[in-house]
Formats: sequence, structure tokens, C-alpha cells
Amino acid sequence: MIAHKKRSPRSLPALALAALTASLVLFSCGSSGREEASAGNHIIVANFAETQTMDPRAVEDIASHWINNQIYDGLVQRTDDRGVQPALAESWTFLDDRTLEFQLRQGVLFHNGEEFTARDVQYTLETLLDPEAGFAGRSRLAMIDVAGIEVIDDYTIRIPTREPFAAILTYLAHSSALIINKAAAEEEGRNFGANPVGTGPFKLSRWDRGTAVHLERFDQHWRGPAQVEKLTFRGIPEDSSRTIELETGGVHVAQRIPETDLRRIRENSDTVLHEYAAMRLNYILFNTQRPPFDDLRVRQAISYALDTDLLAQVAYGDSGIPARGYMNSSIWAFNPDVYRYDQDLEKARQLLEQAGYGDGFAVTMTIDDNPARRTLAEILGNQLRELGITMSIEIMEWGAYLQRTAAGEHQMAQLAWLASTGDPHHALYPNYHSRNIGAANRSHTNLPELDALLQAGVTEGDTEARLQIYREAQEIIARHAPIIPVSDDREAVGIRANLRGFIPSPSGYHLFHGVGFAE
Amino acid sequence: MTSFLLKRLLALVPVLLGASFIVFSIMHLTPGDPAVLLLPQDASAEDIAVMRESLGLNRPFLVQYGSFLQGILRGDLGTSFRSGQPVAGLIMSRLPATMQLAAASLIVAIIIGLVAGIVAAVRQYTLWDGGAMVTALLGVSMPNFWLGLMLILFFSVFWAGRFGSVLLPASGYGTIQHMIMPAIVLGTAHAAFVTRITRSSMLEVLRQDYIRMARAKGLSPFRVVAIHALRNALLPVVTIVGLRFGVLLGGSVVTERIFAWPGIGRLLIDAVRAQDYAVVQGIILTYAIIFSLVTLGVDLIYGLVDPRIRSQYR
Repeated sequence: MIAHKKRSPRSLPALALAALTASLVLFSCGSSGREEASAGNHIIVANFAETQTMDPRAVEDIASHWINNQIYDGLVQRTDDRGVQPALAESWTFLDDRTLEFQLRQGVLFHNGEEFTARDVQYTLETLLDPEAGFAGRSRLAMIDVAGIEVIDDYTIRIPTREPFAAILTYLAHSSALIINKAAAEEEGRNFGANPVGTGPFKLSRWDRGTAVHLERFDQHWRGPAQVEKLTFRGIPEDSSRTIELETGGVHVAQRIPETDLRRIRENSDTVLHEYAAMRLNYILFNTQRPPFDDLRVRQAISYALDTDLLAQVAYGDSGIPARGYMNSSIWAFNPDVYRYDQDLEKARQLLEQAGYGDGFAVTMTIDDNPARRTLAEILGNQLRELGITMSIEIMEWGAYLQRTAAGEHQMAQLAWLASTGDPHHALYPNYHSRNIGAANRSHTNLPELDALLQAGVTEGDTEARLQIYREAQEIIARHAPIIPVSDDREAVGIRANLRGFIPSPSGYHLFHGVGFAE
Repeated sequence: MTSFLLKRLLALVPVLLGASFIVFSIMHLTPGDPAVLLLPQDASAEDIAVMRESLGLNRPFLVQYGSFLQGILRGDLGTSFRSGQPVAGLIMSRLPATMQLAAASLIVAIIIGLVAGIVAAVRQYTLWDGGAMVTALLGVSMPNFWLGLMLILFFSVFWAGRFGSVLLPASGYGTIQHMIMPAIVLGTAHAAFVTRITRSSMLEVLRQDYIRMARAKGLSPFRVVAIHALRNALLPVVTIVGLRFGVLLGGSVVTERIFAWPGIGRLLIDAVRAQDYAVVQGIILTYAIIFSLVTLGVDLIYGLVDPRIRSQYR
């Protein structure tokens, strides 16, 4: 009986453990070593998400774009004072109101040693805008008349738009229009996102998927070599983990420091906190085509009923400042004098009475699973109770939420709008032009007068005239009250105190070309 | 034995077909549109329509499922909508990290679970027993994120403040040091299951006549417990450990997120949120294969542990 049991079972747990340990060691041997944060020539950055792809045409997420901005250059680059400055294009001329001619920089090299020419620009735009290719960045530059792109010579290219488009330069400065190397992209095909070739100050060294992107300095960069030799972007999605890595020196830069950790990073002598306006507006929106919010008086009543400063403070805290208008205040055409609905409960009651809702009504607010929006919805529900309005909250997954609000199946909702190009057209046209009902116009605003102004803003070439157009458009939006602005977003990026030359960019795509360490 | 194996492997085919169809249906019935999620928020209705067309989402449901199956037969799991990368490559890039963490967590779970379970059984109704059971209860009820953050606060933040550098890196992947904290976090929760099952199984075995006989013969208590009782008590433990291993291979979203661990759990959740159909389907299919294989492995280990079961393999 005992004799046959002497075989395997005795050592079974040990065997199993040995096998597991062996597999562990085996896998660990195959994995990459950790890049220790060492001062001198290597900057390690904590990104808030992992990289999807390094093909700038294919992505629409900020985390990936941030890295792409180190690997590639655009024709033009945004400046901090709302304009654009030359990058791969040295200069440009408007031949007419639809055609822009660029003179390109000569002697610029790609990471593979090829020289940058107008053919690369043409190839980038043609492939980006090819509907068959299905690139996410296509919609951003869909105003370009791709068939009309004309290469005059190696260093001259004409880019026409389908209709006059005043903001074309700001749109070309967007990360979706970063210029790729034609030969490499043709050779790699769909795999180009894993083997990127650009003209930027850093080139890809290694991509540990799900963990980090390792870049190294491109010494032949046309602006001269970057200050540090290596730049690593680690994807750390958990907010507190990013903060801790910055505090303990595991990384030198941590993007999106959460509101709860701002004070710690600010007060820590080893770290510096940069806070900046992020061109994003958080707001509450009404479906203007569905009862009861198809009645202007009801929308205005709710606007008067709310203490939006309190809502902003409780929901967004230090990461937001109360909004004062209908686009983020850092966008150049922001109208600070727009009509304001200061809290006035008496007026709100009168308007509801006139609209036939004197006894209140029941309403549903649709939101996604963002905790700040949930908090805001709860406080909002409390404030509306004063008017006899009972609000229920419907929380949906992001994809379902977008679909439902685009289809107009909501009554109230909340959203944030990031005008990442920094242009007022980007801030208003998608949200309020009737052409975008069923897409980004989630308040389903349909005002011919506003449509005409937004269209005029697209085609008007004179900046001062555009400013007036957009100021008027904001006034009309305010009177029509399709949304209630809540807060202008602020973002925070933390860096180690020994880093020099770091300048936060409002787009979130902070550049590392000029960043180094203190001696 | 061979025919048993063959039969079990063949049975995988309908399981995988069923799993793929269910996942495919759920993904397509879920509200939301991958094209909208892929495009910038300011995309127009025309842009969305163009993207839907280029992703092939306008084709009838069964046609899409058919081409998905055709791809699988060619060994092609498709391409991620979001990254444009082949799904098989995405999954393969995450599997090593997932398996390492699963193995490390299981080792933690087995070591803690077996020792605590045996001690609790041998010292039933003593302070040792109570202590082990309370610890097991704590282990299973402690949220992963809380334990993870506590470990980071101690081994990284506190240690760096006190001694100038971290003892264990707060997050990341690549060395054994990176693995210790996530393995403890995941292992602790699973150790609780192993502890409880080891205890109850040991208690049952310890009451058997042959144990009494072994003690009567004057064998040392250690020998009675470790040799005579433990191996007979192992069968249910093996089942639990096997199933736990299967669960661990599915990844843990929370632990992976806190420690920035490049596991398959995070990849899956991100893909579900982005409605990246091909990635979700590929991962679920991989998961179904792994889980079936782990179950098969557990059945084979039964045979090693218990000869009576081995005789049933036909």
C-alpha cells in the first residue's frame, strides 16, 4: 500500500513550485532591464497612458501624440502666443484664399538618413486623407483638397483647401499633420507605427509594448542636437503611481498630476509643479430639440438656478477654474463680456412659470463614468430641487454615451471640449453648427443665424474680422443657452527640480529638445 | 491516455467556437460605435460614415463573423482598430508579463496558503487556527488597490524618504524587483482560498483511521502530517490552485494598473472601452484556450496525485 505511493506524489508540491519558479526565471531572463532614472543624459517621463502607435496619422490620443511630437516635426509649429512658427516649412504664402504655398527647409534629414523633400509632405497628406486607409487623423484635415496638392519642386509645395479655410495653418500645426518619411512608410506599410521614421530631435530606439518607448537623440536634427541622449516614455495609467514615481525619483517628468497630489508636488523641494490652462471647457449641455429643454425659457431658468462656481469648485477643485464664457478662456477669440447667468432663483422660477413648468418636472442627466461628472451631477440635482425639479442620473460607458448623445436620446448631459488646435473654429463649429447634428453637436443646436456666423469664421482671412465674428457667435450662444459652462480645465505636470529648460505646452505635448539637467 | 488527451483537445473546438461567437455578438450588440471612439470628437457625421466603411463595420453581422473565422483559420487574429497593429502581436507582447506575474503570485499563494492551511488544521481551534483564518479572511477581503498602495507607500515612498532610495520600484516591469509587490498583492488574495481549502481538506484527512494508525505506530508528528496526511489532502488543493492559475492568467486590471504592469488584463479592458473588436475577440479566444489547457493540466495532475483517477483516463 505504502510502497506504490513512494513515487511522484510526495514531491508534487515541490515539483509544481519548481516548475513555476523555473518559468518565472525563464521569463524574467527574456525581459528587458529597468531603465534607472539617472541624472545626466537620460530623461524618463511618466505618460498617463501607454502608446498605441507611433504613426501620427493613425492616432487620436494625447499620450501617443506627445511621443510623436518628439519623433516628428510638422510643417509649422504652434507658438505659445496663439500663432504658428516655421518648422519644416521656412515660409509660406497664400496664393489665393484657398491655396497655400510652402517653401520648405533644405538640408533636413530623416532618421534613416534620407533628405526631407516636398514628396514626403505630399505623401503624408495623401495617405492621411485617403478614406480607404481609415486613419483617425483624416477628419482633422479633411478641408484639404488632396487631389489639388502640387509639388512645384523639391522644396516648394502647394496645398489647396476645398473651400476658403482661414485656420489652415493652425490645423497643419496639429500633431495629426506631422510629416513622415515616404520611403520608410511605403516599406513598412501598417507596421510603420512600430518603426517610425521622422525628422524630429529623437528617434525610436526600442518599444517595449505596454511598458515604455525608448528614444535616443538624433544628432543631425536641423535645430541641432537635443540636450540629453536618451528619452524614455513610460506608460503609468494610475495617477497616484505617477506621483509616487516622481517623488521617489523613478521618473523626471510626470504628466497629469491628479488634483489630490498637487500640494505634495508643489511643496516637495525635489519637485516643481507646472500648472497651465489646457484649452478644455467642461460644461453641462441641454438637448435643445427635446422637451422640456426645447423651450429656451427652461434652459435659461436652469442657467439662472445654478451656482456654477460652486459646481466647478466641488467637481474640479484645483484642476479647474470657474468658466466665464463659451470657449476655454485661453483661446484667442474668447469673449469675456458675454452675457452671464448669475444665480437668481427668483428669475428662474418666473421663467419656469412662464414656460408652464411652475410645479417643476422630472429630468434625466446622462453622463459617462467620469467621477468628476458624477459629483457634479449629484450637486446639480440638489440645486435643482429648489425649483421642484427632480433629476435622475444615467451613467453610461463612454462609447454608449457618445452614441446616445449624438442621436439626441438624452435630455441633459455633461461634456468637456478640447480645442487642441487653439482655434475658435475648433471650439465652436463642431459643437454648434447644425451640420454637426448627429455628431459633435450634442446640444442639437440649430440656429441659421449662428450657422452663418460660424461659416463666415471659416472663410474670413482677416484675424480682427474673425475675432468679431466669433465674439458675436459666443453672444448668440449665450442667449440661446444650449450649454452651461462650468470650468476651464487646468493641467499639471510635475518635474524633478534639477531639470532645466522645461516649458509646458497648452496642448500637453511638451517638447524635450531643449530640456536637460542642471550641472 | 493519448485518446483521452485527443478527446479533450478536440472538445476545445466547440468551446472556442462558442466563446468566439458569444464575444463577437456581445461586442456588436453593445451600444457605441468604434468609429466614433477612434475619431477626434469634432469628426463630422460624414467622417464617421467613412471610418465605419473603412473598418468594414457596415457589412452584415454574419459576414463580419465569417471573415473573422476565416482569419483565424489562416492564423490571423486581425488588426487592432486603434493601433493598426496585428492582434496576435499585441497579445504575444503581453503574455510573458502576464504569465510571470501569474506564476509569481501563485508561488506566493501556495507558500502562504499551504503553510497557513496546514498549521490551522493541525492546531485546530487554537490561536494558530483562528489567526490563520482571520488572516485568510483579511487576505480575501482586502482590496487589491489598497494593499498595492500600502506596499508602495512602505517599500518605495517611506524607504526612499528614510534611506535615500527605494527598496522596490513603485511601478514598471523588467526585473524581479518589479515583480515582488504585484505578486504579493495578487498572491495574498489567492492565498486565502488555498488556506481555507487546505485546512478543510487536511482536517478531513487527519480524522482518517490510517492517520490514527500512523500515529499509533509512533511516527513523528511531522512525518504524519507532511507525508501521510498532506499528499492525500492535496486533491482539492490542486483543483483550487489550477483554477486560480487560470484566473491569474486572465490578468488583473487593478494590480496591473497600479504597478503599470504590461499584462493582458489592462489590454483587454482598454480594448473593451475603445470597442476594439479584434483585440477583445483575440484576447478572449486566447484566454479560452489557456483556461481549457489549464483545466486539462489540472485533470492530468489529478492522475499523478490519485492513481484511482488515472485509471479513468481513456
